[in-house]
Amino acid sequence: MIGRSTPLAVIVWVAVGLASAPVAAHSLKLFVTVDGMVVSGHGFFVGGGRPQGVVVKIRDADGRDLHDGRTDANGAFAWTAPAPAAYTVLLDTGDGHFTRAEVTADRFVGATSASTPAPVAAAPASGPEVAKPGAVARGPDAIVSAAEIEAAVDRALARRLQPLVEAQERSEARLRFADIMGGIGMIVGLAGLGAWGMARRREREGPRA
Amino acid sequence: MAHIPDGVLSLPVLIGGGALAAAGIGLGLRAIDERDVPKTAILAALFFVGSLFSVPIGPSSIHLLLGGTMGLVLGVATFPAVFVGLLLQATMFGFGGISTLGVDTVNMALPGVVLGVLARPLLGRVSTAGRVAIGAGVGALAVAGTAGGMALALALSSPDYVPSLGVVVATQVPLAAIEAVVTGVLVAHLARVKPEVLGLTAFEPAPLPVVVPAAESIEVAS
Repeated sequence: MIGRSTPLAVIVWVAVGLASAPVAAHSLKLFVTVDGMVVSGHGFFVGGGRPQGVVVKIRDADGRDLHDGRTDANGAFAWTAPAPAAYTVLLDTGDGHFTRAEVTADRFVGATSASTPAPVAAAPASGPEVAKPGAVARGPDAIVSAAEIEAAVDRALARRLQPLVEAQERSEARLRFADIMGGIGMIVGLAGLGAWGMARRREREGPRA
Repeated sequence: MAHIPDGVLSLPVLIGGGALAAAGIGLGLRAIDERDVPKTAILAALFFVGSLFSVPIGPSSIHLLLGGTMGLVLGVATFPAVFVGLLLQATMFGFGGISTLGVDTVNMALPGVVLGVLARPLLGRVSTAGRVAIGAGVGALAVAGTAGGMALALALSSPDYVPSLGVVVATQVPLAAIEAVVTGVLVAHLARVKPEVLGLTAFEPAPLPVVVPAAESIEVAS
């Protein structure tokens, strides 16, 4: 009912918007990795930009604040956990953007076996193993390996998968043409529903007063 | 920017915003008659799409709000239009939050409604340049009102937010400039092409009594 060109303008707008490169819902996301006992990660705005110098809070399962820091220039943070447990990382820019991520206890599994047994294993390893001929050279390696390999694989995997996970999050938040059109269709449908309801009401009320 | 997500605001603020929004939506729905349905839907769609796309500018990223445009054209019906747009954005794109729908609706609709109702009578008395100026003023002030509403909602929820509220308001300055241009141009265009949506035609009441009885007499005859 506005200018006849308005619906056309909407479509052109959508098309132009989708054609220009970084089109995405404007929201804050948080990416968290666990490496050893260190919980680190960064926040990012979908569509570009990192939240710099914003509040990072880490809470345990009981809701106690364990850490209260700020992100660096890359929107990143790092924190060393006291023990493997479930934690919640909260990122709050203070201007209405807020996001959270959960870190489960099992993400520390590779880490504990790496950090605790490694020094323990090193000490007794040199003792009994050295006595056995043939095992001298390989001894420490052989004992440490199982735990260390697991931790190393964990770390390598996390490093390799990080860009993939980020890309997935970004694509999840991308606006899709079909979704937008679906939304517009929904509004048209609502308008139709409203008009129908009004028409019925008028019919029931009989001839126009 | 103006979409506050879940988990930020305190419960009293959420409830207060919800109650205000419900009242606004109720008033808006009662104000809509058959002739208003299409334009309300078109502006709801425009708002849904326009406030979906954000452009990174400087340290933040902004998107259109169109509160001033909607307020001038729709009046109180801006509330349901904004609510529908926000509801779809939240459910389809995770944009903003469900619990904050009320607060967000009030923040985006109320400034436009107030300014629109105040500015509409002035549009008929001025030239095209004046209409551009009024549209621009309404567009910019509606953004300022939305930023103010957001800042208020955040400040009422937690005093921790107070120090960073300057940032909230500052990031809206470029948006206010853009909205001023968009609203100014749109108002001038509408005044020329479709003056009745702005309540500008002198003979506006005339077409209705003439057209509608004619249509109904055909209905009765058949």
